[in-house]
Parts: sequence; structure tokens; C-alpha cells
Amino acid sequence: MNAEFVNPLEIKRPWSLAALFKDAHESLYVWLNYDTGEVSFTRWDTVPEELYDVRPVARAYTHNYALPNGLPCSRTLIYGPAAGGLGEAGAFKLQTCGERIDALVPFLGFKNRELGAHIINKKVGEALLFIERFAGQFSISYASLFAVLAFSPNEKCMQYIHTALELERVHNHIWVMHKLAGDASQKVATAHLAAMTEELLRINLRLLGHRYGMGFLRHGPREYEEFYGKIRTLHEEFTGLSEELLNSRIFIDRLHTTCKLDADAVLLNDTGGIPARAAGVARDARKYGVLKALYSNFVPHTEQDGDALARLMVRINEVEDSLAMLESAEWGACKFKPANAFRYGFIETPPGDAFMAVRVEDGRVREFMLRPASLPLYHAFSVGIKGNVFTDFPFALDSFGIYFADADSHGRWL
Amino acid sequence: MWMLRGLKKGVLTTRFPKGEADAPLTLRPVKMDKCPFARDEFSCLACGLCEMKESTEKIEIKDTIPLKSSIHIFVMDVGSCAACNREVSLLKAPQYDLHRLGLFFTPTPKHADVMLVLGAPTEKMVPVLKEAYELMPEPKAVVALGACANGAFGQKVEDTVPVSARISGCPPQPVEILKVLLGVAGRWNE
Repeated sequence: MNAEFVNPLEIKRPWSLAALFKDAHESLYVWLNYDTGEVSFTRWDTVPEELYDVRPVARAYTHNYALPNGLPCSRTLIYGPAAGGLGEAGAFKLQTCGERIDALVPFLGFKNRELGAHIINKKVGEALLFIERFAGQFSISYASLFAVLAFSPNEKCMQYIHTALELERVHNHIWVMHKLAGDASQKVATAHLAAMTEELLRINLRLLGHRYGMGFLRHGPREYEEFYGKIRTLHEEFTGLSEELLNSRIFIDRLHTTCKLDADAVLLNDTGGIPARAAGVARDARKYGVLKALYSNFVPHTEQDGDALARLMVRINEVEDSLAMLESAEWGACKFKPANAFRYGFIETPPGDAFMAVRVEDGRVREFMLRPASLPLYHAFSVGIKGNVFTDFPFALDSFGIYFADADSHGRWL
Repeated sequence: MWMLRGLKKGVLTTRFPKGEADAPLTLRPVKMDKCPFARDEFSCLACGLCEMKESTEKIEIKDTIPLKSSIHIFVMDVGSCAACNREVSLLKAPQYDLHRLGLFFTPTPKHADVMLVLGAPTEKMVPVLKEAYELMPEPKAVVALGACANGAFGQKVEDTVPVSARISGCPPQPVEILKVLLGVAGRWNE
């Protein structure tokens, strides 16, 4: 890795701050040009205070959040880490004036399991076991990214990886829809979407050997003759269900203008993934990531409004595309060879892009970095939620489809 | 239209516990004595580095609580990868429909009979776990759910609070979670 010693304030757009790994002596900055897919590394001895103004997402990478001075009516509360509404061990610090949320900052670290430390000096095959468990919902994405960086998968295996990734995208997006429908008390729709998620997880188990794809590169692909028939049925059902859901005014009203993140906010906060595409900014690692060869002629779906509804619309379109791809997917068995090198790259997990870098020497992992997908998206959520009322909170958060377990996996290990 | 859609799909709910569970089985190791990570049956991550076969999860019921009607469950995540959380949430899916068995989630430990603990307890969550346990009224039970809660990454739930039941799995499927929940209420055994 060639990392020049450069003041991060000198790096201008179109470079986006994709990751920042801070340690006691020096900080490593990872920059991404979303237009060309180029990645650049720089070093600097500190994180300058001014950087937080020009690159606000740096706060997410350094956990340097503070609530601003509030109005006389402002009250501060901590929501989490065991609150039932969040569903995970994580928290937010909120500043409210009456019902209105004036400021919110993510309060992370409750799920810091230091899994990265388990990986160092492990054989690549054993390291994969831990990588699959950073975030269960994005297990296939992280395992695939690691496989491409640390091994050299054969062509049939790449097709299998493609299939697994789309299965993961579909069950995650449908689960987000399930949660949003539940937030709006659309009980029947919620039940249908939960049933569909369960059906997809059973398909995963039968084809990949695991409901969330953990170990899918070792267990699968398994014989599963009914795969195409099941996917076709699900596709038909999904199309009808999503049309019906979008005809529900009660549902749409709760999402429209909720947690709005416009294109300017996306650019200022170096946001990628679904929130960017929902604001009309076509950032998608399927165009520039390590698996771009699998997605030739790929054009991301975009919307313009940048609100929770726009994020839902992007998801619905992506599910349609993924299911169409799965209806004719082909795959083969995987063969690997550890690649002794330092490699890095991005992958598009269901909610957004993730960055990983791996150094393999003598078949063992010697250096590992992960900037998980959820971390910058919690920051994006904290930007979008300002000015919303508290009853919008579940719609806003669930529309991002992010996890504390994922965000707390951020780090660099040597 | 919603009603027609429901009628068209028919009944999806499993016949368990009156009949057999119809969910496909998880892959589990044939023998644990060759585990490269020295895990036991409860902390096994089903990684696939040893011989595997389709199997149900390993369940251990140490104590039961005398609750024959409804049971209120508090879900406590202390450091999971969020896969266990999804499996617990899916208990409400039509395939499992936990309410038909008198099982209900509660957002506070003060109203809970059973605490389902997910994940490997992290430093920050151990005090929260202890506090939640203290807040539960008697009689109470704690279920250590999944490999992480049972020591897959070192720390176990039973090192912090008394555990009434354990279940293996990474993650355990919803139908297996139903078994352990009914098991601590004395309404199911193998």
C-alpha cells in the first residue's frame, strides 16, 4: 500500500472520504472517486478539527460526535442500548424540543466484539469464519469481498457468488419493507412480507447451506431442483404485493418527506448506497467495486426525493431486478487458491458500499481493514432525521436497513 | 384485495408442536471431537470445516418455570451479529405465529417471564444484562440463545447471569427457538 503523507484538508472533491482508520500515532485515510472507481490512501498524524466541517462523515469513523447547544426548550435523552424499539444493542443520543428532533448522534460501541483481532495470523480459510459473522445480514457480501481479495475464485464460483449476493439483497430489502409496513401498522402486509422473508431464508438454506449464507463458500452450492420455480413464484407474489402496498395512502404518507437527505447532503456527507441513489446520486459499488465484472451494463435505479419513500422505491426496483436475475442464474462449485498480496476494494451490500483491505502472506492474514456499510449510513440517518418528529423515528431508521453489529465492526488490525 | 391474497396463500403455519416442524433442517457437525476451533456442541459455529449433516439444534433445559398459559419474553441483545435477532423476529411470521402458543414479546424486563439473550456478551453490555436480569420478576428464566451466547467467542451468558436453558445454532432457526421457549415452560421435551 502506497500511502502518501498528505494533510486530508488538501484533498478536494470529487474524492470522497470512504474510510478513516485512526490509531494512536497516525491515521490512515481511504479516498474514493465515485465517478472513476479509483481508490487512494493517505496518511496524516492527526484528524484535523476542520476536517469535521468539510467531511462530516469523519465523525462516524472516529466516533467523535457531540450534540450541539440546544434551544431553551431542548432536552437530551439516550435511546438504547436495551430499548425494545431498536431491536439491537445500540443507542442514539437525541436532543428534542417537544416532539421535534433537533439533533441526533449515533452512540456506537455496544456491540464491539473485536472480531477483526481474531482474524490476524489465521489461515485465510479460518479467517473467513469470522468475516462471515461481522453482520449476519451481510454475511454473503463480506465473505464474497474477502474471497475475491484473499483467494482467486474460479469463474463458476464467481457466478455462484453473484447468485448468493442477489439472494442476500432480496431478503434484506424485503425485510426492510416488512419493518416499514409494521411501523405503519399494516399488519396484513407485514405478515405477507415476513412470510416471504422466511421463504427466502429457506431457499438460502437449501441452496447455500445456511439461512444467511454463512459458510456458503464451503457448504454450497447444494442440489436444489425447485430453486427456479420457487423464485418465479416469489417474484410474481412480490410484484403484486409491492403494487398493493404502494397503493396504500396511509403507508405512503408516513414515508413521504420523512428523513429527507437531498443530493447536496449526500455529496457533503460522502454518502453512498441506497440513500444516495434515493436522492438521485447514482453511487453503487456494483459499478466500481471488485465485482463490477459480474454487473456489466449495470445502471443503478435512482429516485429524486431522498426521503424514506424514495429509499423504499429504490429497494422495490432492486428486488425486481435481482429476482429477474435469479430466475435464470447459473453457478458451479468453488475452487480457491490463497493469493499472497495486499488487496482492497468495495462491494455493494444491501444498504450501501463497504470497504475491505486484506494483506495475505504465506496463506495467512497479516493485515485487515473493514469500513462496514452501516457506519456512514448511521451518520446519514443522523443528518436526515433533524427536524422530524419523534413518531417518524422508526420509519426513518428502518428505511436505511442498517445494523449496529455491522457499524461496530469497523477497524484496522495488524 | 389483501384478504383474497391471504386466502390464495392458505395456511402457512407449522403444525409444531402438535405435529412435525416442516422447516428444512440446519447443517450441524456429525462429531464435535475434531473441531479446529475447540468449540463444544453449544458453541459450534457450524463452519463446515468438519463433516456435517442435516440435524436439529442441541437444546438443554436445566430449569423450568411453572407458566402454563401465556409467557412474556424480553429479547436482550448483548453482542450478536444480528442474525439471531432476525430469527427471533421471524417467530411472528405466519410460518411460526408464536402468539398461537401464548408467547408474547415485551419491551421491558419488568414484565418478562423469560429473557432470551443473544450474542457474545461485550464489555459494555454485561452491566446492562445484569441490570435487566435484576429487574425481572420471579419466577424468571434466562435462555442463552445460539453459539455466541454459549461461548463461541469466549464470553458466555452464564458467566454473568444464571441460565435456565441453552440452545445451539448460528443462528438457531425460529422453530428451534419455539422448542426451547416451550421447554422452559415445561410444555415441550424431546
